[in-house]
Amino acid sequence: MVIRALSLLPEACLGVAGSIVFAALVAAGSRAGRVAHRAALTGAALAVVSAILTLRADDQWLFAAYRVDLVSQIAKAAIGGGILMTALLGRRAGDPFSGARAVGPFFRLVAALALCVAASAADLLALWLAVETATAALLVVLAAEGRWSSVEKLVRRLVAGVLPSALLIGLGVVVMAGVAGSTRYEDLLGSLAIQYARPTFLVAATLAVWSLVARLVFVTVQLRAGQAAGQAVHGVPEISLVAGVMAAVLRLMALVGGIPLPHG
Amino acid sequence: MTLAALLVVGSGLFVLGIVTAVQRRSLIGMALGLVLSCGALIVLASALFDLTGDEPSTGQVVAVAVIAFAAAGAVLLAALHLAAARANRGAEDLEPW
Repeated sequence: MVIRALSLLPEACLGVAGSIVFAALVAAGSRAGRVAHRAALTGAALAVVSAILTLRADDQWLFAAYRVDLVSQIAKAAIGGGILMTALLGRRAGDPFSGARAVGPFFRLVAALALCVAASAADLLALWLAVETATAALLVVLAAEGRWSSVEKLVRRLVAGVLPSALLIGLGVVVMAGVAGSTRYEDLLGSLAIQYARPTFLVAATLAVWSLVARLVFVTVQLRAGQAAGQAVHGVPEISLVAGVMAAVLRLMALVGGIPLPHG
Repeated sequence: MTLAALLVVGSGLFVLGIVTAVQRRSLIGMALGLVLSCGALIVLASALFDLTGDEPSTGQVVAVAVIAFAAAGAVLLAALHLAAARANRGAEDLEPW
């Protein structure tokens, strides 16, 4: 049981680091920012190491709604790497981490944890909630860092693009699960033999996958455009976003196409 | 018959919500669109799960998750609105969120 639980080490590292950063945020003392920064750095580094060490893990949790395999662990290593790079770059830039500056590291860790859940999710509902949590946390990171006037337009564009795509992903998930009768990937796979011919299922699956891909492309392009325009978006972990959403898309596409994913 | 009617109502509400969210430039309009679409998702989930007879409790779980998502989205939008209002206090060319 203990050895089996080791496969969840990356999530545990990010969760513990997030809790420490949250405590620092609440304490808001003079050293809160420094503590938050160090905790985020250590948590992200440990998450990368533990994800690499558990590459060969092949486990299921929460009644097969949460899957740990090679694809999810590679994605988690990339997610942790993105957060680590962001923390290191922030330190090099000499950000004066005051108590209020712990907001950024905290929501980055929340986004990383949510993306880890998205990478491992074998349940449509968990996938949808994880992707939306990650996106919302990244929006908060973006809004909390830098001067508001420099990021306001970017935040507006992102909100305007993210909201409709969230609803479209939600529609795809609800219809796909409703037609198949379950939200679990395993059950969906089992009912594919009957449901595959039904155009409703395919339309809903296509809608969910393409909305996820469109979300990924939209957010990445907007962040790039923001960086090109000199807006303060250096702290946004794009690598983590790409890794987490791509793992989720890969899992969904494998489900729709009936392709088995490689295990550890 | 009930299922078909609920699916039509849910789809109509969803399209209305999306159009509202995309067309409105103010924050309140977007939030209204979001909430309307979330309501449509709840109708669709409940109809599809409850009336087809497959695991009706899953439809309720989906409904609770959608409500949680809508609440979180509304809180995020309100927080962004407050941040914008605080940062732009006194600005002449302030656009409404």
